[in-house]
Amino acid sequence: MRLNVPTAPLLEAVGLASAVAASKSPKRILECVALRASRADGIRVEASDLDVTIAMRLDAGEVVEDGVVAVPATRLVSVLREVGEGRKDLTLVGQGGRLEVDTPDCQFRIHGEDPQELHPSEAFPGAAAATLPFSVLRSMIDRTQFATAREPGRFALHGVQFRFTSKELEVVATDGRRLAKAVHPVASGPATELKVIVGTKPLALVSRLAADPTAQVEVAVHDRRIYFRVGRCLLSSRLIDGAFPPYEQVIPQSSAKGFVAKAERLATALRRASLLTTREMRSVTLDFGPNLLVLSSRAPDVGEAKVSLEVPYTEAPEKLGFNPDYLLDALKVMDPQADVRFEVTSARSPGKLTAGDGYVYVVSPVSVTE
Amino acid sequence: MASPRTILHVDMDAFFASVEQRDDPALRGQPVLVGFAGRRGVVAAASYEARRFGCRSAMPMSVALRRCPRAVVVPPRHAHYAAVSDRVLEILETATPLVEPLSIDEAFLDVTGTERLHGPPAALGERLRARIRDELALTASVGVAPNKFLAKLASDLRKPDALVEVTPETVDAILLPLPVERLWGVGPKTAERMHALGLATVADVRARGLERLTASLGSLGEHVHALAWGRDDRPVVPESEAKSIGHEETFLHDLEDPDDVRSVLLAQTEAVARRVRRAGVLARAVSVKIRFGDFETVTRAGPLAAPTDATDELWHAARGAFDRWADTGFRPVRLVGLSATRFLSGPVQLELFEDPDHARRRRLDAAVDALQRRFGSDAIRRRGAAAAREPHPPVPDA
Repeated sequence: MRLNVPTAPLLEAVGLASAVAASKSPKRILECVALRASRADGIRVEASDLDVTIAMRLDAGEVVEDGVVAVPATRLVSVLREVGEGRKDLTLVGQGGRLEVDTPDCQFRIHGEDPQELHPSEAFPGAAAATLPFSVLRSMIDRTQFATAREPGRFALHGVQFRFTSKELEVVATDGRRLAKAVHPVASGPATELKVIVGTKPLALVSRLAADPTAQVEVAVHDRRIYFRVGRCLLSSRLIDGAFPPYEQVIPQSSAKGFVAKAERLATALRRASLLTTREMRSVTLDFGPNLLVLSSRAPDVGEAKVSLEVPYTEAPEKLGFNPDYLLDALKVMDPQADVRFEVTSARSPGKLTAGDGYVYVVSPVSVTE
Repeated sequence: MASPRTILHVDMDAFFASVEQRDDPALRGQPVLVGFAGRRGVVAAASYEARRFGCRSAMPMSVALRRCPRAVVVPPRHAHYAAVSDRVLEILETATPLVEPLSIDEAFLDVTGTERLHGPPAALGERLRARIRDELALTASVGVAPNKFLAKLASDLRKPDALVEVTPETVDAILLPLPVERLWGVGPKTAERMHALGLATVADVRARGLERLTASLGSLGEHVHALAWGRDDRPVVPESEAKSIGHEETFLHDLEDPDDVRSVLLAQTEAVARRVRRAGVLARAVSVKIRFGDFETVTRAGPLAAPTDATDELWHAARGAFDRWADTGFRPVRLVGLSATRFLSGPVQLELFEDPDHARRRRLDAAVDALQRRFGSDAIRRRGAAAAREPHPPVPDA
C-alpha cells in the first residue's frame, strides 16, 4: 500500500476511529485502526470494538498502490498529530501489520496487527428507517442523552430509545426521575413501529460524524444493530437489550397550571436559588403565585435563598420542590431565548417543560418532609 | 438550666389481660393470665384479679398457676395488642406530636407549653384517660411531672386507673423513701453494688453527696445523684425523629433452632415496619441484634437497596443479615432484636415510574395495617410469624 494524503482530513478520520477502537483489549486488533486503500475505491479508515464499528471514506488523497494495514489507533493519532501540522502531502507506505510514515526529517515505522483479523467492512443495510437533517438528529441526541441512567441496574435506561414510525422519529431518555423526549417528522419511516435502545457511547460518536450541518443522515436497524450513514461515514452499534417502562403514561397531559418564560431567565433564577443547597439537600421549592414564581431553598448549616421571578401565572397557587439540577439540565440544552412553558399539576406529580418544537422534558418532584 | 417542662407518662393497666377481658365478657372479673400454658410457658400479663394472688408478668406459668389455680390462661395475640396500641397512640397524638412510645403499652408525651390550648396538664391527662376509657374500653394510669423519670414514677404510684401529678412541692415526699432499685438505670447488679455501699433508699443517695458517689460509682454516681434530686434531662423523642425504631425480646430459655429465631425476627419485623410507617420515615438499613446465654452480643447490619418502609423489604434485609450470621456458625440465642435504622431525612426524590413490585408491597402493607387497625386480628399475619413460639415464649418487658 502506498498513498499520498493531506494530513488534516486523515487525522480527523483516524481521530474519530480511535474513539471507536478499544482502548485496551486482549484482542489487539480491536485497538487498531485500519487503512484500506484501493485505486478504484479511494482511501477508507475503519475501526471496531465489536460493539461499535465505524468506516469513513476520505474525499482527498491519492492511492498509488492498493493495500490494507492495521495499526494501533492511538499510536497513529499521535504520530499524525506530531508531524502532520499543515502538511498537504503525507506519504504512507505499508503492508500488513506495518505502516511507515515518512517526512523529510522523521521516519516512523508503526507495528500493527494482521489485517486478516480485521472486522469485515460493513455496508448500510437496505432502506433507511428515518432520513433527516444531520443537525436535527444531533440536536435530538444532545437534548436527550444527558437524561440516561448512570447508576447500576435498570440497564435499558442506560441507553436512549429510538422509536421509528411511518411519520416521525422519537428519541427518548430517562433515568427514572426525569425524562427527555424529542420528536421530529420524517418522510418515509417504516410501516410498523420500530423501537430500539442505543448506548450513549455510539451516540456521542454520531454527533461527531459530520461537520456540514446541512447534510442528511440516514438511520437503519438490521440484525440487532443500528446504522447511521452521513456523507462518507457509516457508524453502526450493537443495540441494548430490554425495554423502556411505559413512559408515555408519566408525561403529564397539558395542564392549565403553568406559565411561559425565556429559558435563560428561568435558568438564572434556578441557579441563584440553588446556590445555598447541599448535595444531601438538593432541593429548591417553587411557589407558584399570582404572576410571581418564588424559588427558595434552605439547607441547615449553609443558609437560605429566595429568588422572585415575575411570570404570567394566573391559576390557583401551587407549591412543589425540585432537584434544581434536573431542571437546569434541560434548560441548558434549550435555546436561551426560547419561550419555555413550565407546567405543574400537584406537589407529587411530575412537572413538564416544553418549548413548542417537539421537545418535552418531564421531572418528578422532590417531596420535602417538613 | 433547661426551662421547665411538662411530661406525661401514660401506662396502660395490665394491658394484654385488659384487652382480653374487654374482648371476652366471660373473662371479666376473673383472674386472667396471658401466656402459653406449656411446661416452659411464662406469664406475659396478669389481670389485677390474678395479681391479688401474687401472679406477676415474667413469672413462669407453672408458678402463677400454683398461686392461682383457677386463673384462666389465654394465649397472647401480639398483633392484636399492637393494633390496640396504635389506637391508644392516636388518642395521645391529639394532645401533642411529641409522643414517644416506650413499649407497646406506655408512652411519654411532652406537653410543655400546651396549657393555653389544652388547660392544666393534669386536666389534659384526665381527658386522655377518659377518651381511652370511652373509645377503647380500657384504663390507663398517667403520671404528670417535670421530666420523664418522675412522670414514669408517678404513673406507677396509684395504679390502676389513676392520675398522679408530681410537683416541686411533692417530689421529695415521693422520692426520698423509694428504694434505689426504682432509679432509672439501676438494675439488680447495680443495686447490689449500691447496697454494699450502704445505699438503700433515694434519701441515702442524696445524703451521700455527688463527690463521694462519683468516687465509688464513677459516672453512674453522677447519674443516680441527678435522679435522686429528681433531675432528668432526657428529651421526649417522637418516632419520626428517632435514630432507629426497634423491638427486642429476651427468652427464658435459649432458642436452639434457627427457625424459631427466624419466626421471632419476622414478628418483630412486622411490628417494626408498622411503627416505621406510622412515623412516616424510610429506613436505609436494618440491624439484627443477637445475644447468647453468656451475654455476649453480636449485631449484624442488613443494608436496603432503596430506602423503604415496606415489611417485605425490611424482612428480606433482616433475614439476609441473620442468615449470613447463622450460616457461619449458629449458637443458641437468648435475645434477638431488630431495628430499622439510618432513616432518610431531607428531601426525597420521587420516582417517575414506580417499581411495580414495590408498589404492590406498599399496597399489601397498607391493607394489612388497615385490617389490623380495624379488627386487630392475628388472622392476618405473614406465614411463619406466629408459628414456633409456643415452646419458647419470650419474657415480656416487665
